[in-house]
Amino acid sequence: MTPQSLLLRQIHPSFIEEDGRPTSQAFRPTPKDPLFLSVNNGDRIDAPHAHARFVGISIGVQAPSYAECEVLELPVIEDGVPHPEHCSVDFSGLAGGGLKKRAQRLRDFAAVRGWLYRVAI
Amino acid sequence: MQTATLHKVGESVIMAVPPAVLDGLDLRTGGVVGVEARRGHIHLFTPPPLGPLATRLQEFATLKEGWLDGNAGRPLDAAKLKELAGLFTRYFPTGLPRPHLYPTPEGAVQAEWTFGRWEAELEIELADFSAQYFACHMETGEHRELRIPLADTTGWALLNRELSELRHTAK
Repeated sequence: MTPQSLLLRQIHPSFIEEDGRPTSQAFRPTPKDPLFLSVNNGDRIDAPHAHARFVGISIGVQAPSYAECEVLELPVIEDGVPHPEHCSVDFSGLAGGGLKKRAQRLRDFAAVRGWLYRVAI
Repeated sequence: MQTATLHKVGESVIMAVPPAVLDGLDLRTGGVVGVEARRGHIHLFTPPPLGPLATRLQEFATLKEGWLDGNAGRPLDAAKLKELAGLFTRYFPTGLPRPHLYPTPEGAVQAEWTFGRWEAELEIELADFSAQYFACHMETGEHRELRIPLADTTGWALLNRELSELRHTAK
């Protein structure tokens, strides 16, 4: 992984408004795994294929980069589970404002790139 | 025909209406109605026209248990969502931008605003309308965090003041 590597994040349809703006919640861990944000390594799989393989509900894909996670002091773990391209952004030790601030900034970074893949409606 | 008297109060005009006019409309002092002037008549609408904010909130009432991923994602209470829409209608000023609204997996509502490089969010518990406010500047990292009770008017005044300050700061 390089600083430019994109971390592909699936966006739930309830997490966008009509104008396509995602909530910062889309970039913070969910109750299922409260410490880690699940992403895919964009060097190893592209956004359409990552979306096609995703087993949950997703309206599309946005992505911050590895370097942007580093700026926010969020370690990225190439865990390879449940598939080889899978990575986890480590939010452990964060709560409240510290967690929200990082989620907002990840959303802000990803918004500059826009949708890397979007389901046609 | 009943008559009403107009009084100037500050920049507004107050219309004193005989109570009999309101009979049968289920209206009382402090209630909110839609108002429209058309062809020489003033029309009052009750209840007020459903705005996009209320429509968006009502969408969340359709979410079922496990809506996020099959496991996480609690349903949101339809009556409470309607009540929250009423609070926004009553106390959120039209001069501020409408928030982006989203459900949270915990069954709450998250409202979000952008003012320049400031991002503000408000997580609202539907059980008691208590809310956690968080705003952060995307470049400096400066942030503000507050607990705001939206069940009473002082909480709304605090929220509106915070958002107005952000908007002013962002200019």
